[in-house]
Amino acid sequence: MRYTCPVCGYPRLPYPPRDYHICPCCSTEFGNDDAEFSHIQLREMWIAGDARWFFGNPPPYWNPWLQLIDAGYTNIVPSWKTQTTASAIVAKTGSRLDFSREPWQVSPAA
Amino acid sequence: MILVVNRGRFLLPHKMPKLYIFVTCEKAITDSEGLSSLIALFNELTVFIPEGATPPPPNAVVAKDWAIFSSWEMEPEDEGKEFREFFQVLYPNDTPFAQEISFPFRAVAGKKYNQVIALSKGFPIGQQGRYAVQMRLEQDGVKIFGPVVIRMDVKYTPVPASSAASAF
Repeated sequence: MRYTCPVCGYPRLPYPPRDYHICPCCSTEFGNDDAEFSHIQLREMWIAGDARWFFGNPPPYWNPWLQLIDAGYTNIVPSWKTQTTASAIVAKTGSRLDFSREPWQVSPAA
Repeated sequence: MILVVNRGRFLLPHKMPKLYIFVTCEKAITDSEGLSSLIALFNELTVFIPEGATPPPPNAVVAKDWAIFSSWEMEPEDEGKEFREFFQVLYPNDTPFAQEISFPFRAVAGKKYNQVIALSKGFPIGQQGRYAVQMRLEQDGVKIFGPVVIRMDVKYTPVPASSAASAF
């Protein structure tokens, strides 16, 4: 059985987040730290400290921001405005078709 | 290239599923009859950086729903066999972003196409440049196809701080 940390969203706690168990990711000691601060406050404090892994080595390719997003704490993750576009290579001519421009523009093959 | 439509190229000589579609998009919806709709295909992501602001840190992830959609054309000989499709996103410097994920699927009689959709809630933006979405297919732990790659460009574009503030 795995449990999710209600502070940082780490999804592989081996014990429930209570009874003085400590999250290896954000270091929250449940029953102690969260008696003094809310989970939201603890999350903000963890992020203010650069959201670092606390105990030992993190899991391979661990990413704190993706963990927070996956846990649904998107609102606290630093955000940037983004825009997606698509382009494709026209197989027959090798030209590049830019769907982001209207009307579509075909650039010569590189 | 954003779309791979493959009618048998790159395949090993023996019978096996043929990659039919491999694409990234913002949303993939599958109805009750198994028909899929792909919404907003993309292979470029522009990140708007307010002038004067620090660029995203190397491990930055933007909250964004996106999907990797693949469809396999099954051969009658594949019936009953179980396959596993692996996906991995690589930064421009070829280091992995997050752990590799995989999905099993089994070839079922009478089902010509098998679709696999990998969903993600975040997209890495910590490096500017060309990312790779890599996919391969295994059967019984042995790679039988791939890797094939979709290239995804992440670009930073400066914007006036005032316009960025209103946009955020």
